Amino acid sequence: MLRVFDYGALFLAAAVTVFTAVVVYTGGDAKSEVRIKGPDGSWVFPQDAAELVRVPGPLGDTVVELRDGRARVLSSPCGNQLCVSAGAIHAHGQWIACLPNQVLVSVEKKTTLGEEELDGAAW
Amino acid sequence: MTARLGKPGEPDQPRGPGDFRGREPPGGPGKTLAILGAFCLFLSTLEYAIPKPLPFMRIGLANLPLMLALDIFSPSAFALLALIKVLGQALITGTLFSYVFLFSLAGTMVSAGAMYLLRRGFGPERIGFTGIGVIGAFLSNASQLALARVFIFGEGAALLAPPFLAAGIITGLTLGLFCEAFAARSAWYRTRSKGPGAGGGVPSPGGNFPAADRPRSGTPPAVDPGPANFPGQAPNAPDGGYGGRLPNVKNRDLFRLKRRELHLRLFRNGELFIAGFIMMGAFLFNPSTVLRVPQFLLFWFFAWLTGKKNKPLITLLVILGIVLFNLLVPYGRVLAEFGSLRITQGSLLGGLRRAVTLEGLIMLSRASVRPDLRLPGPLGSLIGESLRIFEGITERRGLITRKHFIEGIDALLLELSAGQGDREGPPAGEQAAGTPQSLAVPPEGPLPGMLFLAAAAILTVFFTVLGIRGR
Repeated sequence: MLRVFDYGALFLAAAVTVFTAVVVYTGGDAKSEVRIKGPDGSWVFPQDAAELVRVPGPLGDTVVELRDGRARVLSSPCGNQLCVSAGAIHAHGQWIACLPNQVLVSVEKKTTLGEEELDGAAW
Repeated sequence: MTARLGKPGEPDQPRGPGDFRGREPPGGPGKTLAILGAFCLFLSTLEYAIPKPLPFMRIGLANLPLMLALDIFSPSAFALLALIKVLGQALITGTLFSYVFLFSLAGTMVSAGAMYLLRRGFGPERIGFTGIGVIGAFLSNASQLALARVFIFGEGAALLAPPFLAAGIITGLTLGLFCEAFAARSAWYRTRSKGPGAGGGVPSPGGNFPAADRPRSGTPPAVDPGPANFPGQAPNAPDGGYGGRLPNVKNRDLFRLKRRELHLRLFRNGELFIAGFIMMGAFLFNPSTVLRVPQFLLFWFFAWLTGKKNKPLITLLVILGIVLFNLLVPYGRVLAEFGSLRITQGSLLGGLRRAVTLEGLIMLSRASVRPDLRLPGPLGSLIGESLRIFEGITERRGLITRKHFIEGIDALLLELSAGQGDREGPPAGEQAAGTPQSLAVPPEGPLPGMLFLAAAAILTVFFTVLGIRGR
């Protein structure tokens, strides 16, 4: 009753479905995210987001820019401006800290358990 | 709009949509197109009665006429049939203004195009309805998933992809096997198709419905055609229609029927459609998620007024589901954390916006699109004809029983093609489809309804203006 291309169609559809399941459920395409932590809260964005985030701190607002897959501190009220001169980060594990204003920006890969890649206690 | 079947220069080939090589039905070559269109709508309503293991696992019975038409129609006629299916369903279910219509259009056109190319490219000897059904359902689900990613679930739609695609394979396989069985046993199909077994011959005994076993019209059907808000409640149905106090009818159902009667009396189709169109535009242009909520509530109230069945719990669960899916991809300020699930402001607002938009458009569509709305042009006429035949089919639905499902459908197709069993009386445009004669009351003066619609439209636009000014 089934013809040659009936089997072909079934096989093709099943193969695409299995491939999709593997990619989606095993994190074959795991994306990085940018995490921003301040004294009053935290933010999470996909790495490809385009955003300007104002993070309030004890000295004022630290402005973090996310664009073109990179994150950088655009401006900060701290005196040494080390966070601004650190430039942009994009790879998993990279981070920028503004110690005077208590702001941390990091790039991390999502884990299936949602575990933090960067230890908050160490920071 | 014309379409041809067969090659040019063949003097005896009829011209026009729905051309076929078998006996031409009374009423012209477009009649086959309208008949199959009507069956798409009928089978769609029939499918609601079939229990499903999961809500999104629809077999897609409405695609059966489309698959049968692969061997009958020219490309343009086939495309017309697909459009009739989509637009007819949108009119009957009142989803013309909603994303549901968009999803249905995308899924149907993509799968129909693929099925036609496969069947005509490989031929019926190399690919049967099974393979075609699998690919058609698979592509339909894939295209709807792509739209769902944009309009409803965001990136969280990826998690739905594998089970949704797998469901497409199962439902496509099921429909394809059913279609093979139908084509093998259908006398109607045998006389019309170019597929295997075409060209006449004596119909198999199963192809003719045994008259002795045929249920009498008026006997309650073995298969319920669907929920009460679909046309098909025939005046001669066992419960006698809507007029008067019905046995075993709860007070709330009576109240709902009275609202329906009032809605039919107050509002005319054209005004409803125009007001709905204006409100849809205002709704979609509203940039404020928060201000879309009162608009959504207004549409919900509007839909409640129509007297159609309304299930608030289902609506709220759908909204909750969409918001949860959007929360799976965190975006913005973290509001709360529950284990690995982070509730972020951006995802929450984005999910709420998508959910309210989806449900708001569904409510608005149900309130402002009635099945007897007539679309302009030749396509509108074809859809109107299909809806009229659809009413006739639902009156004869007693022929289709669980025991003789295929034979029942075949018998109806043969009857309709022979010009029998067609519903007599005025075209559906002159009487609201699905409206029993006891409810076919002339509308009251236009003023009250128009005032109400104008007020609703102004209120909707007002919220949009507030949203724009608040940016």
